[in-house]
Amino acid sequence: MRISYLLQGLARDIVYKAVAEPDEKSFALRNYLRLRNDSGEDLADAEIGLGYGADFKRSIENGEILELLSERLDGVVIKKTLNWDAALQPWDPEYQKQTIGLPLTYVIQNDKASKLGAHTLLPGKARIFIKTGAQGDGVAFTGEDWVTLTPPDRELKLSIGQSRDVKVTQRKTKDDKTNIRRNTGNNVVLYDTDEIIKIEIENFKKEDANLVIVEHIPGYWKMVESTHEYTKKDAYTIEYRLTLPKESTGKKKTVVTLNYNRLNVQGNEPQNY
Amino acid sequence: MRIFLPLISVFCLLTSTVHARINVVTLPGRDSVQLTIYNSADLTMVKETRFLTFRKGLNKLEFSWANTLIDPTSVEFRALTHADEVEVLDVSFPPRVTNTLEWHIQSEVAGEVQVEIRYFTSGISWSADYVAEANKPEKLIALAGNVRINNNSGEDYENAQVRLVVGVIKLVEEIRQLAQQGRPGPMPPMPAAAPAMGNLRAAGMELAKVADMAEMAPKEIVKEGVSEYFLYTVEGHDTIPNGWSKRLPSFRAGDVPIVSYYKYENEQWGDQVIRFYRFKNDKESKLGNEPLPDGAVMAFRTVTPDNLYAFVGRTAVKYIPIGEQVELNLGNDLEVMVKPKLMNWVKTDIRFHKDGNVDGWTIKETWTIEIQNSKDIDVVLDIRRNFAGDWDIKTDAKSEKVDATKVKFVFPLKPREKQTITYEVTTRYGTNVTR
Repeated sequence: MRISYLLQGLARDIVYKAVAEPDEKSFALRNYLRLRNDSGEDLADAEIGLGYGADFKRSIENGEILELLSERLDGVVIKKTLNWDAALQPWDPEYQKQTIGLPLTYVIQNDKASKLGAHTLLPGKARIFIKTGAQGDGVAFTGEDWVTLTPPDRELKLSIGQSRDVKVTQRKTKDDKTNIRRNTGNNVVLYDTDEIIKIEIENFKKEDANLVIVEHIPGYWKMVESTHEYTKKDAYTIEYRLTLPKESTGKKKTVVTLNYNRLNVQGNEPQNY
Repeated sequence: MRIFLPLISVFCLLTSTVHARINVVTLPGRDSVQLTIYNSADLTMVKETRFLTFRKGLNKLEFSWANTLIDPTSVEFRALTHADEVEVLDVSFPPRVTNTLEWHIQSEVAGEVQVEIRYFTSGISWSADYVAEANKPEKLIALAGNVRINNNSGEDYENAQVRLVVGVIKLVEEIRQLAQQGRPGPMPPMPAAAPAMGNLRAAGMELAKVADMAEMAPKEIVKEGVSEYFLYTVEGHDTIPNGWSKRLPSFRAGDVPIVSYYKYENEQWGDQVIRFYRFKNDKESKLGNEPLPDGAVMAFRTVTPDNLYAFVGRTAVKYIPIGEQVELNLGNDLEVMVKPKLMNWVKTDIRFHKDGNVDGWTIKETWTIEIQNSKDIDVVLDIRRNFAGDWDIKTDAKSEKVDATKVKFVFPLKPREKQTITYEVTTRYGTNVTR
């Protein structure tokens, strides 16, 4: 005979713990299931499963919290990137009282090539460690982030800390109004712009670094010239993906210059407003 | 006040049921303990090793941490010896008690096993501080760095290896808050989209009781770059009781070449001239072995031939990577003067609208800047002027356009040197605006 019923007060959390290799190209991921029984009932020899990973048969008393290792995944491929967004970060670090940190992200593809992809990654907290010491026998904690629900073949980004060894200084070196159009009252009603942004990037690290720079250009615009290739993410956002050589500082720094026009004047404006 | 040490007991289950009679074994203390202390968050990772005696079969291990600030969600166990024969089956936080967990461990080995227990605690912090001693001409400094460790975790750490992490990590939940819950609480609702900068924590610096423990001999600090962080491992082992603070020398560099650099920018500091000691964290400057953590700086200067010191100022330095320039802000210095004066102005090119109102004009201003170094040392002076709108500048002085709104003049000045620079700025308004 089987008796089935609905029970309130039994909850589960997902906890991820990962230890990255010193080169930060892969990590060993451990996926834990944390069960919390506040149902008012002791559950003896309960069969417990997430739909993936290990299944368990355990007793869990009312009021007990039980943590189980449900999955071990070794050699999970990660890509480390640093991020600098012109809308979020100060442009000139010289004027800041603290050294500006660039958010550090591990990007993980939930697919077979990355040794994942067998199931959706469920939401939970991920704590990331890294191996330390000459033999890699120690670990240090490098930060934590929430894992968002990530179905197979989708991307997961874990933002775990900051890099303060890459310095980005952005300046607008030209900000001119062009094609100024005035109304009969001689007031400016329309103009284009000619703008130049200069981004100077110094990498003080002893390794190359991957940096994503996000620029926001409002309005209708056209790029006149850019020293580096960029990707248009949407109508108002472009992204540069740069590899910064190690110790590229001073005269060796990376300089990105972009010259764009924001266009308003169509050429068919009335003679008189 | 410390009340309980984390307690570990081993119970060997005589039967496989939860209600079985158990055989309690009291364990010896820690074999070793390592503290990894972060300066950007109220977080320390504790790693301890112990020798436990297991029986073959199912073993139960209890760990409790009353009156400490240990995060219960962070406690981890692993076997260092016989690692393939000792497996954690699950971790249980028993009902009706806090600050206690039990590991259920399947052992294929009977006998002694070295194990590692790792957890996070709150209440231990570290900070850096520096002493800079300049020579009389203020061209060289001796720079000494120290680190101070403060333990307010509720726990004594005896004979601990200490590692200090320089870097900014992200925490999505406070360790202290997790610790105060006593057992894992329900996870908070996740943010819809994690902010790029995250929740970056500042190190807590509250001290219940602070005392410096003088070191008998300076200790070497081994430095290692890890990811975006820097790890300092303090030589040997230290005992850091709860409520105590300990200061250790980190490095000392003599004859670091510096420039006495002065900045004037009205929009930043008003009419004050701000003095900086400027040097580079690199090998040429006899530094560059490690990044310099942010911290307080006490600056002194030799003023007499027999090495009497004068206090120059107290300041703070921000984190400086290897190879980056350091600027120690020593505050306003009245012995270097910058006095901008508007000497003349004229409104020209006035344009009239057909209704008779003025709708376009141009202003030409002539400015002089008097600069004077009343000190007995060489200095470099950096003057920045900001402009808005449609402007042009003409000057014979050496200048550099920093960006679309800022011009920089930089002058080396000899002791007691005076100079006057002149510039003319033209600003167009109304219908005269051309760009």
